[in-house]
Amino acid sequence: MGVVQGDQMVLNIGPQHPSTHGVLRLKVATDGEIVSDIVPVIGYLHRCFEKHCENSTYEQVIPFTDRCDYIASMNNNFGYVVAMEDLMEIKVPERVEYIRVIMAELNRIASHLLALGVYGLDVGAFTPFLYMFRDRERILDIFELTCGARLLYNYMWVGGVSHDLPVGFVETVYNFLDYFEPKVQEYNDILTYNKIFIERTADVGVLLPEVAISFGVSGPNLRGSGVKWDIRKEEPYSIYERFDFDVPIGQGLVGTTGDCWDRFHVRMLEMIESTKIIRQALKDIPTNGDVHQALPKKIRPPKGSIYRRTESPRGDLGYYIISDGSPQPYRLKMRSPAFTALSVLNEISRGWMLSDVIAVLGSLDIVLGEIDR
Amino acid sequence: MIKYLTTIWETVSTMLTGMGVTWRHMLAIRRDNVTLQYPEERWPRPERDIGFDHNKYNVIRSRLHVDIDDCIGCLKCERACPVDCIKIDTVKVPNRGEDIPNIRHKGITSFGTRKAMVVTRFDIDMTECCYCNLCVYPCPEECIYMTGGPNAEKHDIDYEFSEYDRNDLIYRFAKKVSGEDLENATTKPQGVEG
Amino acid sequence: MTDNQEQLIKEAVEKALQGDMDAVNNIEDRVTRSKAKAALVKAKREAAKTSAEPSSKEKSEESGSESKPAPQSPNQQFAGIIASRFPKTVDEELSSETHIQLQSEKWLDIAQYLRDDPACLFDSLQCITGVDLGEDVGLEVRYNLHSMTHRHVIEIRIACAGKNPKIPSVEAVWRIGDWFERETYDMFGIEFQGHRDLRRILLPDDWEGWPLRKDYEVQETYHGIVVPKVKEGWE
Repeated sequence: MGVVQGDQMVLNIGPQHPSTHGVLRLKVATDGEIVSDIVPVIGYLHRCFEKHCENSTYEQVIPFTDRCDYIASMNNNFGYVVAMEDLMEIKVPERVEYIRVIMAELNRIASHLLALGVYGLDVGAFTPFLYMFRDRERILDIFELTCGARLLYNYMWVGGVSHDLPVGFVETVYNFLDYFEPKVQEYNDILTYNKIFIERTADVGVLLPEVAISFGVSGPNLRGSGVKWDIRKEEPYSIYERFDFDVPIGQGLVGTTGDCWDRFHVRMLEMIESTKIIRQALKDIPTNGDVHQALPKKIRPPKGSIYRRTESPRGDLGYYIISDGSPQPYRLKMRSPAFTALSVLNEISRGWMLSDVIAVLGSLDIVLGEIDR
Repeated sequence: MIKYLTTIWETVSTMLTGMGVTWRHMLAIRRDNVTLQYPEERWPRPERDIGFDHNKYNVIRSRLHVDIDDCIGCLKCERACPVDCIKIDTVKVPNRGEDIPNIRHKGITSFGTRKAMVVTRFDIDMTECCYCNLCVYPCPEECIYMTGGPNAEKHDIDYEFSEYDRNDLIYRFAKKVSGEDLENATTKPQGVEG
Repeated sequence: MTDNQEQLIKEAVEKALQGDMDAVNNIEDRVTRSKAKAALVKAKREAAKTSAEPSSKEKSEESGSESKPAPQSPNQQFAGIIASRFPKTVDEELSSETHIQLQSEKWLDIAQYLRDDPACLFDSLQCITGVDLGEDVGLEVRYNLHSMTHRHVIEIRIACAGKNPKIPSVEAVWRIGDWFERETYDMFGIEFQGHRDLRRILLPDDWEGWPLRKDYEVQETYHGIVVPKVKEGWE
């Protein structure tokens, strides 16, 4: 097929657009079909979270970290709390560790459900979106049972968690897991192996491993390119060493390794791994223990700095905290995984058609709240 | 040629599998319907057993309420709020623990603490509130809390509190008294010992 | 506090120091109970202090006699390697086991070496953080480097003081440096020399000032819109 290159124009995929996962502006240099250059323009959701944290105490930072990546806010809290506890050398009780892992993994499933459902919507499949949201609602109901909030929890505190588990929590989560695991088979039937979906996403937007590492891409995007890298296994934090789970990587089953379909498939498989972790945690959770036992009366970390990474559903979430001994952080920098994922968009979508750009952008799973902070 | 035919076969078979899933959902719609016809139906708040007896403690994030008679003016909730949506002004009382009837100030809280301050201004801006619950924990008298759940009998609405005017969403809890009455009540009378 | 209360608190604290918390928990009056708990905390702190002093003296005697060299952290190892390859770039007094302090002149060559040398292989730049350390010290940029093959982690700090701080850009070495450096430029005003396209990324292109510096004053209006500091009527 000969490609006829027409005159170049700059097309603006504006900040208000249903497929850009937030307020993202893309300046696309194209001739109408083949894209030659993409320049993302971000900053429409910039709330200067880092400056705000310098004027708040360490406890008040936690609701702000929730609002950065608003879809996986338990994992944001977790990252901050793990960094603070490393800095202050606090050891939390066992029950708190298990509760945190259960909440973080449930939120990982919820975040992946949203990512996959919205990706289906981007490429034109309307049904799986509602099916995945229906299942996500059940997870949000579990969170509402525990801490009262559905999306932005303020749940994990430095040294503990805010509320203990209600009576009957374990049965509710077991019921959810028994309901959810057959659903993944349903999603595979309806979307993953659908020929139209495969034609749309296989071999599109191939991300080579060296490019990915140089661009700092991590999480399911990196694993989709075949690199077996998961912070929960490499630099384990909390009690992840006790759990037995695999790290799925993309193998190019229906196309090249590192294409959009691989990233999609990795997220689908990760949801099953998360259910395995939750089952193991529910079996071993200690039945009594005070969750507020290790909460410090006033958070005044020693002078120093720390950089700590944790695995959020989008990749390596890092917090760089510098403290000068006062109750307010001196500098708090959040290294968000979606920031690095968006920077690789230009590299992997040059030369493809305009609708492929939307498919690639959806497969990177970005959340603008995290990019702009 | 073989590839052409296998592609057609794969397309048709996966489409039919997908359609089979939606067909099964349609047939089971009476049992599996998850749509809630709001506002005729409302999702019930979860029955929650948090392991200890609570009659004021509400886990759900909803509208904030302050029992102003119990507030001692310690400003802990104001300092704890991350978005500065609580504003409190206090004036010192001449005698600690004494009731002052003309500004409707009760001297002793329901826990038995004697109040040393009159709260003249307690505004919560619900448009700024981020429902993080951080103001509820430090209160020593448990007078600021989120409505609903166990204390639902005293407050009829908890999560449907939208207003037509933005200024109606600034909740003012302090008792409205005139400036003169306040001054008369809180200045120590001259020429009296103590 | 009345004499009765004081007596009660003293007795309860003594019993609690010996391990019996019931005496404190059974005090009915809330105010007295909280005072007793505060006195207990104070007493425990005093006890800890007096027992810590003789034990810390013992510890320092022990470590003096053993004189075992502490294991070198990765930062110290790589500080040695960089200092031998690139003399006069590592600032010995300020580097420690938590970070390596470098001068900014040869930074691009050092970065290239760190990425390509088989013993180092730092192929992933995790985070670039800009810091404003106050008026006297100035600005600083901190790089967290990480190796995916060897799994070691180091932190490099480069100071850039003065009115127009400048640092060589490492965008050619690690591609993510592009966006991270633009963000640091946006927030602090540090110029990265050699960067292809250094412009603001999070703020609008015509914003004035560098927000994360400690002496930042927000501008009054932006294109005629007033930039509010506090909501109207809400002081």
